[in-house]
Amino acid sequence: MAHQKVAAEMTNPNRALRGKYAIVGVGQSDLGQVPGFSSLGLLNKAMHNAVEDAGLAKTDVNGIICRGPDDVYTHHQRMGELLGIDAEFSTTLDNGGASQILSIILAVMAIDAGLCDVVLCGYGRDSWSRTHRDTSTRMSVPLVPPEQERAEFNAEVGMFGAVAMHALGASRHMALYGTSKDDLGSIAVAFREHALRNPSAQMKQPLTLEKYHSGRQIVDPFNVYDCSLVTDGAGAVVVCSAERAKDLKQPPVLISGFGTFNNLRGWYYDEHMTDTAARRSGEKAFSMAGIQPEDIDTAQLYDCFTYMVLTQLEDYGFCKKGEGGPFAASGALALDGSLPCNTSGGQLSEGHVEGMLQILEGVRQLRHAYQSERQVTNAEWALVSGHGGNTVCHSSLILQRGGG
Amino acid sequence: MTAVSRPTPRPSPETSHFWEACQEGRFLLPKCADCGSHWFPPSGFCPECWSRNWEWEHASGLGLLHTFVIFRRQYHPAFEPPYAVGVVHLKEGPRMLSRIVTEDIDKLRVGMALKLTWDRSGDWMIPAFQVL
Ligand SMILES: [Zn+2]
Repeated sequence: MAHQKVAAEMTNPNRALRGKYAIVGVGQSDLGQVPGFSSLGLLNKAMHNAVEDAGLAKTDVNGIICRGPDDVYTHHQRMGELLGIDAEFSTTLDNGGASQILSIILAVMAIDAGLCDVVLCGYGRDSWSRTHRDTSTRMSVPLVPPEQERAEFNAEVGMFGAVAMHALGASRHMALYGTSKDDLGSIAVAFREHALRNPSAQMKQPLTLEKYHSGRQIVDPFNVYDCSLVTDGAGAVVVCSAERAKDLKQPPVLISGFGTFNNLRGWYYDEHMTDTAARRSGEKAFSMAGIQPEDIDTAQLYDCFTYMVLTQLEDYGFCKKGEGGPFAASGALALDGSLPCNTSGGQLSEGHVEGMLQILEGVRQLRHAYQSERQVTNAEWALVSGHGGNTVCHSSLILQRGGG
Repeated sequence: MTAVSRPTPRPSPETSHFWEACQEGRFLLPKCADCGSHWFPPSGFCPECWSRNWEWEHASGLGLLHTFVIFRRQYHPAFEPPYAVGVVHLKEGPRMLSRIVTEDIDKLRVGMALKLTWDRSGDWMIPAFQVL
């Protein structure tokens, strides 16, 4: 028996890191339409708030990991300059919406390697101010900077934007498994209900399935309610050892499992649109944490579009492949459902900060930070996901309530 | 009305021969002489076996509709919605993004058989696919 246990540990070397590090501080900026701040300014504020939340001082921080806004080079240097911090370890990541969890994974790796002790991870964007603040800006400023667009095999056939890219996946899932617009709509409706309980969420109006179906079509099968919000906002977390966390201000939230997988051969390859990198990324995270999907009390899933939630529910093993639609439509994602999901409203209804707010929400749920109307009862385990990088990069994070 | 032209491809050194052939109405794919794989987009080595021993081959121009979307919102002044864009599973194996040309856009279905046609865009011939 002991022998078998050793073998299992050896096949999962990252189990040695299970629960060894913790998220000890979280912070965010204002969300939504926040004129007067650049993306760097928003992140500066979120990082200040995260360090203050942890009860740490600027001088304690010696690592910085960011994902830059798309138009800033060596973003971590710019942040260190604004924060007034020289770092033992710092870098900028480039995995799109999968970068935010990756920054936490990399922080654990860097601290465990002895490169630094206390790492600030964060992301900020000024999408509303930059691209949506008035009509002329909307008409003239592209959502995606031109240098990021593929030079060929894309725009010349009329392909534009992330909406269409993800809609290709939804369209195939609908054809293969009979997934319906009602199924997608149930996800938007569930997250909106959560946003109405969150005073800082961008969306303030109720959403019914009927109203969902009346939404303006963007790229079939997606209408406006299938798409995440345009947001100015930032979020940040502080990572350090669980040992050090014991003496800090907040109840620690332990980093118990993580995993990555990147379907780099592309969204069109194999069944990558309907069997996403969430599956293998999740398998590693669950294996490291030593738990099963049914042990998860709340999931904070990357919801750039309704469909990405649906496929991740399947890919993480909360239901069988093809059954994500009926699972979501059953009400499972509600606060009192079997898998309370995106309990702050998600990117569809709270604000789109590329997965950063999902990490913050996972931490707050495990701290039992909320009054009962927003709190997942007795939340012990949270799964958080990140997806992006030309639709194929994925990161998974399993958090556990600490101090128990 | 001012005509706005469509975005045109900006070929790389590895893809320029593909585009030159397109301008003559020829649809080519790289084929590995060692493992027999075709691949797309064109590149200098076989992505399956890493062989450098390959040549251009005339592709059949046949394929199946892997998935598709219909643009309802206008993203570009030269592309008037509604129009369909799909991923074509080419008979030779690779997949490529393409305009899907059809009489009735609402009758498109995943799995439909497709064949090559050409989309003229200014001085360019762009491969497109139509329902068989
Ligand atoms: Zn080969």
